[in-house]
Amino acid sequence: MLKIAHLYPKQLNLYGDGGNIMALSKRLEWRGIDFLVDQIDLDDEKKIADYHLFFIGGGQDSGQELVAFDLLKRKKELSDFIEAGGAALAICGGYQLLGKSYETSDGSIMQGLGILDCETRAPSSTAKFQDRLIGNVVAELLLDIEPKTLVGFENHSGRTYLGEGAKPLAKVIKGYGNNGEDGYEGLIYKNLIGTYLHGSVLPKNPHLTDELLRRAIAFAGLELELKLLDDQIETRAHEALL
Amino acid sequence: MAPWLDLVAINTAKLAKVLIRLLRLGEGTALPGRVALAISPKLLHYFSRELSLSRKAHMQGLGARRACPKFVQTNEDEYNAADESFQAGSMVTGTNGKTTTSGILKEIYKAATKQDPISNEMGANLYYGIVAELINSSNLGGKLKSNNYVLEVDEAAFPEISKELVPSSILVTNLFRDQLDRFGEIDTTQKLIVKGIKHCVGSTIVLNADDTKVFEIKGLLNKQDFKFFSFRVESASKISNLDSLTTEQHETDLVTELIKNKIGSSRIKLNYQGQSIELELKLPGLYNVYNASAAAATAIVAGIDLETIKQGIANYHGNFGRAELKEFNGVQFTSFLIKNPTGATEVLKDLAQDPQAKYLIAINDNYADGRDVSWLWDAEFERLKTESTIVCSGSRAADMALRLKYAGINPQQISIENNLKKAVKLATSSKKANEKLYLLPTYTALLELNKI
Repeated sequence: MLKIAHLYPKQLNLYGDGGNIMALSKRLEWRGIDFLVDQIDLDDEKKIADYHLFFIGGGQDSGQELVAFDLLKRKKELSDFIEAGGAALAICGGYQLLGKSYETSDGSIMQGLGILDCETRAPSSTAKFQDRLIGNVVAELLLDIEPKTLVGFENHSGRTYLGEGAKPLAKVIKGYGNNGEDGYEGLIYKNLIGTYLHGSVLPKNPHLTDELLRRAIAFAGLELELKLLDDQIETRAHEALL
Repeated sequence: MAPWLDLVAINTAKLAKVLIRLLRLGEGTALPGRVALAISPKLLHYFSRELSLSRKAHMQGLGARRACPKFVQTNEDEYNAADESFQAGSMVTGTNGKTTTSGILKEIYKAATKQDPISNEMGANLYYGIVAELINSSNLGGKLKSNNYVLEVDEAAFPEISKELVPSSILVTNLFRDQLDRFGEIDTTQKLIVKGIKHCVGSTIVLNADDTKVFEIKGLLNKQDFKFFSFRVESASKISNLDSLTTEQHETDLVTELIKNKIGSSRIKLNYQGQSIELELKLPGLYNVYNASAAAATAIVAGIDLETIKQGIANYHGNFGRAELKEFNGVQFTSFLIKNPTGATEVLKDLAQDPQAKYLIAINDNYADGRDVSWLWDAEFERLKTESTIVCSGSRAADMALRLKYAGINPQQISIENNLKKAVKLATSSKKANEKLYLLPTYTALLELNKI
């Protein structure tokens, strides 16, 4: 059985990120693959090591502060999970929290989990765009999957800069991406994907969803094939943004 | 007599509106405001002075219960005492239900005064739109048709507007996850509203105590500067997807009991200071019980009795895009504007009770709709029956169809037609005799539909 953990759904629940859990679940259900989704809340006793894939979304500043504290307590656990090859998707605030550090709205620099080699800062006074980076995004995936495009909607004030060895997830064709400067979007480290894309991102990028599932299945050591699904509607929603 | 520059501004704007309509360039709801402000940037200040002068005189008549806004310099000679015994200027802000709540409140004020208050019914709730509405409500000499007003005000525009026009009461309906791509987040919206209220020392602040983010506002203000009035709704069910839903029950001035909820209407009871009144609310869903309660609370603040409030609520008949009846190709649709997860879920809950329902859902992603369609994933489309027939339209029709597929609707029953006119044709031509058509458009999709 494939086990999925949804981290802090009560605090990090902005912008329809629940749609990502729906996409993961439905695409397993339609293929008759046995799975479960558990919610992991603040001060929860459940262990990440008992799962094969985790998802963490974005929230308001207030929700994010609560989560940051709890998340730091799970630093080793989460890091061990990713290092061992566990699959994960972190969006927006979740993506920022897994990096080395991030700047809050009041300007203080907070320690992140340091699992991802990136830092998030408030826009510098010389930055080209001072406002929140908001709008539709089209990007070219730097992963070996088809189609090559990734689509979604970004809405973030933080600018994320990747460390030297870090691998971006995609190259921006339209939109801002990580920081609106270097032309890249997201980050991939082992089987952990960090991205700014909402939309929800997984339903309309079924190839990315299946890639995450494939990696989680491999990590779980399950002998399972991902059967082809009828993705006509998915494809239309994806192509509507191209 | 109005200063000449303001008069020129008012009359040029009136002319602009006539031209816009004559040339069929649109409704002319906001552009005349821009024209007028280009001529007289302080025009709102002029209107504010007109409105406040009469209010000040009224309050003196009442023994000056309320402090007068600081900036108003009254010149008693200039003013002829108003003969109306009723004076209220209300602003309605918050993320959801502004238009309906303002519409109900307007009917209550009308029932109390037998005169239409100034109001922006077309939902033009930004700075320019409000100036345009005030121009609309004034004669060529710059005199306003009424001293009472009910203005729905956009949360982001509120601080700019309240800086110049200080109402006697400010109603904050709720703070839901609405159009977050515009403001970033709910906390930001809350800050904007608090900032706007701070310009209005002396006003009464009417708050929805069932919404944590709204109720928090009281604690963020200086107690001596304002009067507060609160309301809550007692019902077995709660509005789902309400991010800031409170679990604690606050003591409130007005308590509304939901007695019975049916398709399209509710029976409610308003309780205030030991008095109560029962009434039939001819609007669907729990969210409209909140809208009616919010309007009733604001009316109580204006000194209106429960019987008149009941009468006003009864006089209210739907509003722009809210449970509106439309006809295309000789077929009737009931339309419900949807624009955020909370409102949409409430509509879906209601419609799911109709076994003969067939849907046309039109999703656009223009600025006024909110450009992020992620919210579709937070609305509970799972409530619809799996065999429902649904036509998806608008620029994001495919996103809608995808959401429905993941909500468990049979994909065979879902069709995608981006073009609205064609989608309407598709929905009407395939409609079976026993089916009832429901139209669920976003804001700009509804504007487009109105032109078909």
